[in-house]
Amino acid sequence: MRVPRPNRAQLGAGALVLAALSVGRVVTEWLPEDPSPVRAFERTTTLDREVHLRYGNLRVTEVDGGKQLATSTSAMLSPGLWVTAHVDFTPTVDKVGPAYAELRDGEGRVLTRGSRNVLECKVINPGISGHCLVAFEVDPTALAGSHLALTVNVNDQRGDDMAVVDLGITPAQVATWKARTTPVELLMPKDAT
Amino acid sequence: MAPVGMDGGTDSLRATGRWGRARQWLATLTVRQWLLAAFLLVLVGSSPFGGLRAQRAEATPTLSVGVEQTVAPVRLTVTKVRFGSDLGVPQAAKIDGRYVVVFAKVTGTDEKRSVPMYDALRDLLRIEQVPGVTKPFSTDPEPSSDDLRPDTILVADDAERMGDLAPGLTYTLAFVWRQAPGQPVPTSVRVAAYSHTFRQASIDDTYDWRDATRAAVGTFPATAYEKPAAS
Repeated sequence: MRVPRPNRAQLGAGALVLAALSVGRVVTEWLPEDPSPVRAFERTTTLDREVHLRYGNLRVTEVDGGKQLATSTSAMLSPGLWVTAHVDFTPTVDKVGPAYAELRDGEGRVLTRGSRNVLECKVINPGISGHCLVAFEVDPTALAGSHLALTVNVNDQRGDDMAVVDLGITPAQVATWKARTTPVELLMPKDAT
Repeated sequence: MAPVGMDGGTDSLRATGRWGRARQWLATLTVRQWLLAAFLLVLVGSSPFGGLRAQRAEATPTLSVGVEQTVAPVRLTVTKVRFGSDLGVPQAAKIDGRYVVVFAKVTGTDEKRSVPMYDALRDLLRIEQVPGVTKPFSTDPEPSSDDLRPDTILVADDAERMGDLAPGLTYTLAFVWRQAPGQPVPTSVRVAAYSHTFRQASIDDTYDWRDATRAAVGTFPATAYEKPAAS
């Protein structure tokens, strides 16, 4: 069998396919490299200042730290430091509460919650104030300047509001927490509903 | 076409004649014969470099006590291997069988984010050729321990379960497997460390540490677990 010679139309079609692939490659290279081009809508705030989100209002009321953490179920010792936060949250739409938390340290590294860090919420019906406890283990050298990010969807944070809270941690605070010998107690307030 | 080798024919005519006959012969070849010829050409051309045989795998780096190895996305130092039926903590209390525990210091090498437990860390270590090891949450002995995840991973400092590995921190971890009752005591344990690659999934846009690759291996003496003295 002889291989037939391609005619002009076939050659033209081949050239168009190659050109389309080249254009696709150029477009791909121009797209952002971040794993999630569709990101959350970040609503920034600071310690003790309420932020209004699509699904509720959130305020970080208290930040603390130390090498040891005591919760209602466990006592944990960190090779770095534990940083804890108390969060007031009032749902406005549905009975939802923060289910996803990440800590962005002072060097911009993202600490995911995993199963050792703490995010525990008591959330009631819309309009009724609830409370959350948060704790992350952090490298002390990068703790100053950390931000806490919270949102309601644990599996997918894209395309919805996310609170990003500047915890206001200073190097002096970090030094105090490193010298601390007592555990940081992280317990639900007695009046939390 | 002038016949080749005719008396009085020029060299060029002779060459044209040979080329012409070669072209005629080549035109009679089928596609299958062309592909076969190309394959033979590749085979002959590659033979000085070892042919098409599979390349021999590079020697796997050795794990040994107290020696740090980088196994992406962590730096890892195996410190000891212990066995016992009671590790003295609620997460590894007394059992009928036996725990086999690999202790290692682990530091994340990812400069941007935590190393997640539920892909890279859980699949970091395996114990090989240890008889009667069970799968997590199972009590039945498996025929081979080589591919079995640890039953649990504990932080040695507080005996709590490990989570995601925060950047910049070094943990001493206890990778805990279980042996079913009646299995022989392992006097030495071969430990394999697996590296991972951070890449996007083939079918969606999620990124994770994937493609576990056996990157380092070493055999360690296993001794009975000694409970820390009460302070």
